[in-house]
Amino acid sequence: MSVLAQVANELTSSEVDIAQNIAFGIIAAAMIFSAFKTVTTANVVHAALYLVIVLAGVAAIFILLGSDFVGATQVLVYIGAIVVLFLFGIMLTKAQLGDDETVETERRSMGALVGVLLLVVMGYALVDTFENAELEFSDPEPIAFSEIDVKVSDVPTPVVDALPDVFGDRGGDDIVTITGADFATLVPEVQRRVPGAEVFGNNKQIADSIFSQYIVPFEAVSVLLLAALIGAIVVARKE
Amino acid sequence: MSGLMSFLAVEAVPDVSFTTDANWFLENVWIIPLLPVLSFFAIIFFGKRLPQGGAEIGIAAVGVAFVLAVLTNIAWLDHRDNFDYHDGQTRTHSEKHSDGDDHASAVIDVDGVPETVVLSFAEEGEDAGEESHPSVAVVNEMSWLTNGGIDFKAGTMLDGPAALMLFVVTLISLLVHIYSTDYVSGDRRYTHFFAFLSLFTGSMLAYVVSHNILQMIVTWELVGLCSFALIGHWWEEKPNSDAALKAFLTNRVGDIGLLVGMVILFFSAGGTFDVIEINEKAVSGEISQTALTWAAISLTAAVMSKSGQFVLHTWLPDAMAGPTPVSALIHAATLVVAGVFMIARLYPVFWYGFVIPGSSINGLALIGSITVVFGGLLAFVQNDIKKVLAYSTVSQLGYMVLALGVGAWTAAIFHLFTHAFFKAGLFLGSGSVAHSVHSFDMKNDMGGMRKFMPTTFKTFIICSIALAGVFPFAGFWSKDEILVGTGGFGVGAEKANGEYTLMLVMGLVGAMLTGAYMTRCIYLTFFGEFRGHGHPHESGPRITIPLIILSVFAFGAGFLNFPPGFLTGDAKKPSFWQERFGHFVEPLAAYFPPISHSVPSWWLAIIASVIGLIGPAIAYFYYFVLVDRKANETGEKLTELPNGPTSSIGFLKAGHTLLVNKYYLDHLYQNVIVGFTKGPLSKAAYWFNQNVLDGVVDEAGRSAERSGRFIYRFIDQGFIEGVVNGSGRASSTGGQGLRKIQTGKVQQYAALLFAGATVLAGIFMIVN
Amino acid sequence: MMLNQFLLLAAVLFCLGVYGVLTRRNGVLVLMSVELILNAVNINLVAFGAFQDNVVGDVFAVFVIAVAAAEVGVGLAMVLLMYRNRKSIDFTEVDMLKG
Repeated sequence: MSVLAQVANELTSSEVDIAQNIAFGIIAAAMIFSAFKTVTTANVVHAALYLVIVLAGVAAIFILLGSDFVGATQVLVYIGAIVVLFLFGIMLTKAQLGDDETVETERRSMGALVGVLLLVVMGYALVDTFENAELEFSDPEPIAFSEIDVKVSDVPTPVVDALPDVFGDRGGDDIVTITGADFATLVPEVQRRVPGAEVFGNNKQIADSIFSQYIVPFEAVSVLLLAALIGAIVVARKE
Repeated sequence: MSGLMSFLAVEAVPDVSFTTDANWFLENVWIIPLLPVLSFFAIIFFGKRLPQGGAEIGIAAVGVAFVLAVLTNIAWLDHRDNFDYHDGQTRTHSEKHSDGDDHASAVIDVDGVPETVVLSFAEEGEDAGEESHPSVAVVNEMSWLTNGGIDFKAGTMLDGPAALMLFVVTLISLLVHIYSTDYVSGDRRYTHFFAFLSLFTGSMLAYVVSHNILQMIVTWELVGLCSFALIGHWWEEKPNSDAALKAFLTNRVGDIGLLVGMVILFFSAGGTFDVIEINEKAVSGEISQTALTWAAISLTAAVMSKSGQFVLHTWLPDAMAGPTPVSALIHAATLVVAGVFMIARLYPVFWYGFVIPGSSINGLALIGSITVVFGGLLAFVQNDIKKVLAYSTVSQLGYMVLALGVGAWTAAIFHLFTHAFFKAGLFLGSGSVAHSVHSFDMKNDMGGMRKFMPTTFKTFIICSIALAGVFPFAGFWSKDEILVGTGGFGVGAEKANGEYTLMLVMGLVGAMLTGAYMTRCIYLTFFGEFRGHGHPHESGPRITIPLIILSVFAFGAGFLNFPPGFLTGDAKKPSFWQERFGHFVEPLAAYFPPISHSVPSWWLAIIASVIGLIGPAIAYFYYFVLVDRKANETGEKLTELPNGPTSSIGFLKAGHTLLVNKYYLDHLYQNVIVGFTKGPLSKAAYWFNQNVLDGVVDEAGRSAERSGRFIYRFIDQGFIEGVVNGSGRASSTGGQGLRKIQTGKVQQYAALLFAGATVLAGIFMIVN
Repeated sequence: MMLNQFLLLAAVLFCLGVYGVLTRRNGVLVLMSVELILNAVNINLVAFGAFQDNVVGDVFAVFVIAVAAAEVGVGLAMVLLMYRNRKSIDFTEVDMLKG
């Protein structure tokens, strides 16, 4: 049983919401600051490092949204691979270390104007359209099992109350066995709280979806990656 | 009576289409195309290290494929007659609409044409029960991908035409392989040649057993690719690689039609690639008439390019740049036949799309009949023996398309079958001659070859007679069946699908031309004095034996499909040996339209034979009598009269020039169409590129001044010159002034792009 | 949580990315800004996926990550080529499209 789940179990839903909002605020503030620094700093290496913070923030946002698979992919691919590529690029093009005032064009105001204009239009559209849209996370389906051994102290009270036959007057460090038949008698809300039955994330659905409904895009992406690999070699190699 | 007939006509098409359970050979027919394809890879990888340079692999693979094809045909014969289609193994894809569906009633409504195949047999007496036995296709399929609710399947579908094509393709290919071991021996890319010969064969075999249109498209393109590789086999010489490119690109034009047609069929049939299912839905009327018509028109474009129909046939004679065995394979059994086979395979689409039954003209028949005559005329002005044969193929393919267009499906397939043998024989024969004199030029390097090459001469004569359609050679039977099938002048209309008088006339003219140009070709090649250099000699057995085999078929293949009543002397008395071929190939199932057979006509056969002999007679008189006499008088080696009709009579001369220039079609394509797109269009594109971002601000200031000057010019220099000069100068001054806006700075462009997108989004939002 | 907070965050990131693309001279920095834009799009995809309670958004976010990897590979290769040919990766110097 993960610490996070334990914490989550002990919070009411409104408390969870507040916690999530606080986390979002911190992450978002860090991301916007870092993104701003990424596009304005005069130091090329610093820009890459700020970019890491933004990318990590995006991964955190994904996890906050319940998509831990995408979050993990984000960390692996972006922070693990793409940023390293950028650093290689910086190195190979012999960029000046330290501040380099020539990295920006003289048309900063034009860029700022376009950016702000874009933000106003998009912000207005979003506020206008999704003003009251609330994110509601449905709980994932609990996983059925045939038999599970648990320590009584690990089991949340609602489960103990719902299975008087199993738990009886046992307590503390006793090990009890919950069978599949016992499990089936529980209502879903309680089932979910049985240790070992919780499901976090939606990896299974993503896998199902990629390898059935979206198999052709998946294959196309594979081919694209191969083409990009070959293309990059062809473009960058010395004659 | 009419009520009963209608009833029978509906019943005539059995409500079954295919079975998945049949003889081993019929189910596992995929092995046959696989063998040559495997042989392709084997030759590519190991060919060079083998003593025969890879030829032995190719011959072995195609040989085994041929044996399997023969066994498959025997199995099909048994299946055709004895398969029990009541045992629940047979299926259709769709429930047939019961009564009152459009197409079935449309067929019945045609007055006087209610009888269909089955009914005609039923009238003929006792053996009706056996004859009306349905011909059920054998399907072996598996699904390799399911996406968006659509099954992508791979599989084979074997029915009469597929079985027949397996036999023809493997036989011709085997003979061509054997022939090639001598013909291209010592070639710079001997191994490569055999590899592609194998792949070519394999692709065509896979094409004919295709179970769905997706497979048909893939194998169709593969056939095209192999022909590209083989036509350009000697690519070091520019004309050869040009010819290969021309063949490939002309075919691509048609392939657009193929793709469009197939996409239309896919969607209108409710998202299926299955050939049988599409055909069933076309027959039952589930696909709308409009969709069928557009699909048929698009597919006809594909057929025009692939099967060398008039207007898009220009690549075919150029394709003679390839080695002769390849030409034989292309013209007899593979590439060009693919188009005709596609019509035969998706026949309900054309049948209902072009409303073939009961009419007197349609696009398909018209294209075919024009091709028959125009292709035949072009053959007269060729000096290259292979080009004579190439145009002859164009003309003969015209016959097949014509036959399909008039509803004589069986006749078309029969002609495809007989034509494969005699045309392969003619091509290989011409190759044999050319091999000996090292040239294809009949006028300068041949003549009198009968003395040097007796075997080649005899086989060439037999195949030519068969091509000209002289009784009782193979071409006579198939051509006669096509002519009867047109139903022109009401001949055979008792059971024909319509009255296509124009097509009958064109077909007769074509028959006359065929004999005449072949007579000319034979005279120039085999008679007169030898005009070449060196000492020609007969080719070796690896060349002559295929020729002999092909000429045997060219003589005898026609006996497989005697018209009814020919043997018994009375059309009412059927004989077992009549229409064996039709019985073998013709699908009699729910996926095939209820086509009718014409009653053979004695007098048409006689008239056609007479007309078919007039042409050769005139040509004989001209060459063998007039030219020969003149040559003897003057002692020169003549190939035509010094003051012949084409150089002395005005309109004949003009016609001759027109023919020599191939109706100026190449000129049209290269100079007019390509020129237009290449020159002005690219200039326009360049201009557009240069000035497209013309700022309105800058322009507005100038336009006032300029318009004043324009008016002056309009009055001064007259209307047209003013427009031309003015607009030219306007664009040039405007361009000069405005090119400064094009800074070339990428980020500025990006800024404009983003700003523009933002503004548009903002407008869109406000409007909404 | 509200859907809009994620979408607005993504919008801010997107605009910062656009600003970067428009104002940076250095080719590598331009590519980094492009990454910001792509990440903004990914946040949108995942947020809408969560909003509609399905995984389509996640799936496409994974695809976008894969495509972004390909894009960086080819993009950096082009920047390197440019560096090798001109000894500079300053985008403002590349003005061969100038009319």
